[in-house]
Amino acid sequence: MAHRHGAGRIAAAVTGAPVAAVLASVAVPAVLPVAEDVRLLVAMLVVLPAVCTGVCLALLARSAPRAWVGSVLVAAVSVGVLVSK
Amino acid sequence: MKLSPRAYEVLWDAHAWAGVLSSLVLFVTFYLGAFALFAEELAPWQEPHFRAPVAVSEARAVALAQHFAEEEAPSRPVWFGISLPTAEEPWLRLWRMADGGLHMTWVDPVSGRRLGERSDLGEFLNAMHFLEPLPGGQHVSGVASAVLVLLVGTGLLLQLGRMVRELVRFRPASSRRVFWSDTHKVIGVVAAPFLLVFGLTGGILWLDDWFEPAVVRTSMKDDPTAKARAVDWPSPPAASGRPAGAPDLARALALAKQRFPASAHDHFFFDHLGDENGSVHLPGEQEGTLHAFTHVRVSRQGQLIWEREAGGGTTYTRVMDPLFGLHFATWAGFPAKVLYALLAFLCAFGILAGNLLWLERRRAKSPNRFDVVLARLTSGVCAGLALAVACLFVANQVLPGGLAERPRWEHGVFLASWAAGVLGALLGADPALHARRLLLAASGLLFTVPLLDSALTLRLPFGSGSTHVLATEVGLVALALLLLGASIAIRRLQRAPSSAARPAVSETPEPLPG
Repeated sequence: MAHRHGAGRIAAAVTGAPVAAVLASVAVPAVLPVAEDVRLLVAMLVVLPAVCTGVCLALLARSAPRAWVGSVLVAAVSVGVLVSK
Repeated sequence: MKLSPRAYEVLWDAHAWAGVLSSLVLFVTFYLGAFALFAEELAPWQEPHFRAPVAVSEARAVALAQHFAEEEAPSRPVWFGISLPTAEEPWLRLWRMADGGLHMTWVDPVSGRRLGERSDLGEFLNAMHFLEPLPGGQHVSGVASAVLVLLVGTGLLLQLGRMVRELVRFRPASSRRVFWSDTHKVIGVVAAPFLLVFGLTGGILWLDDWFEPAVVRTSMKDDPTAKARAVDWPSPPAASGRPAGAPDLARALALAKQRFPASAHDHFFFDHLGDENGSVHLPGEQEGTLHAFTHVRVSRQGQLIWEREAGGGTTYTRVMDPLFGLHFATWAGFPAKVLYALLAFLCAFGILAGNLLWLERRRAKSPNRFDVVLARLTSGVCAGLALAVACLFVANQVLPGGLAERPRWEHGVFLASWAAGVLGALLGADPALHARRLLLAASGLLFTVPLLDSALTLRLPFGSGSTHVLATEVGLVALALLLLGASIAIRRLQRAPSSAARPAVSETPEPLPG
């Protein structure tokens, strides 16, 4: 699998993309203009589908750098949102 | 709509690898999930004394509970619990936290005599369902649940444009590879909603201690009271440090019944028992609804200090409670639970079919060391689990009722027989033959369990007069027949030519990787 799909993309799919998805699942509810219990609900319901989507998107990326850039971008924006709020 | 060939190939590989790497944990989760559904109903089976009706009035049972609470109060435990006699468990149960775990001892409600620890077969199988007794097991099952969400997602994407056709395509007369492929796809598609609910809720249940603190910190200003409000579960009053007696349990029960008359209240859970600020929590359970549980908390002075309607009072609880209700089948009566259990066994078989499909595909090429180990682990873990469950039920019959630390002996038998099954698979010659032997042994043992029980309780098999016992007997015999059938099926499949010998039927019209 690594030979066909590239170790870089697989590494992004099992490390970078899940971390970025978790960060996004924490960041998005934090800035939603809703009650606190709804924020918690959104975070809990979204995190696993987000991680799975992130894994698939990283694997489907055209190249390893694209997979990593996508993951880092999502993670950076999420961290930015969390720091600035 | 269909995926491009490249996307299909990528997602196929992701599905296959994620499935193979998580399959054994998921198999355990679903196989034991069928038993976990009946953790309470198994009580009269695991402890024959429980087959008698409740021998005391509720008032007498509450008075006895009050006595034990007062007796426990001077030791001022942070948490302590008492269960009243019920139809499934007609004794009182005392719950204590000690050595990092929950310990349960029983009390005869007629004499008030302490009866020590007894079998916890149903609760142990429930705990093993999410690997709780194993170090790190809860998080392992949480990660496997998260992978299950990925498997359902990628599986459904792979079926885009072909789901209707493949849902009804089953070719048992074809090669083994086609047989396992059809089996895996049909079960996967049929059970997809069920699998998705279990993947999501299982992941939330066992990974929330990693994730939730981050959400509380970022979305709730790190305020634990905000989280308590969101989940409608406030903390009990903190201990004052001043000693006092136990709350009045009769009054607490009366308040709970008055507030939630449709709920059954069988438990008293004490926070800071023996402290002036101590309180007692009475969960209540309603039948036939996804919003099954009500709660009241009563102070030591007899004030109602917290109540929680079924479903809770926030958007979070009104969505999450039913989701967990679907997971735990709290809404289900006995027939629906049986359907849940059948679906759980079907899912376990579907997961197994995925592994066997992987192995058949590899057999057509040249299996590497990973494939050899996977074949052996699939044999040892899956068939070994069936044997371990059978050995647990036999141990439950033959171990003396009053044996000190009896639960630990039963757990030891379960884990040792499972380990022996796995070790045998790793050291033996043929994984399929090993699996057949384990399934045959498990089947034979399960057949003997109802006979052992009838001999030990001096009655005819299937003639106890208890519906709980009859249902368990029927269930054990049905499982024994199922395992016997699986053993015969393995033999037949081993005799049938492999896919390498019979490539006549293609598995899918598209070229597949792997």
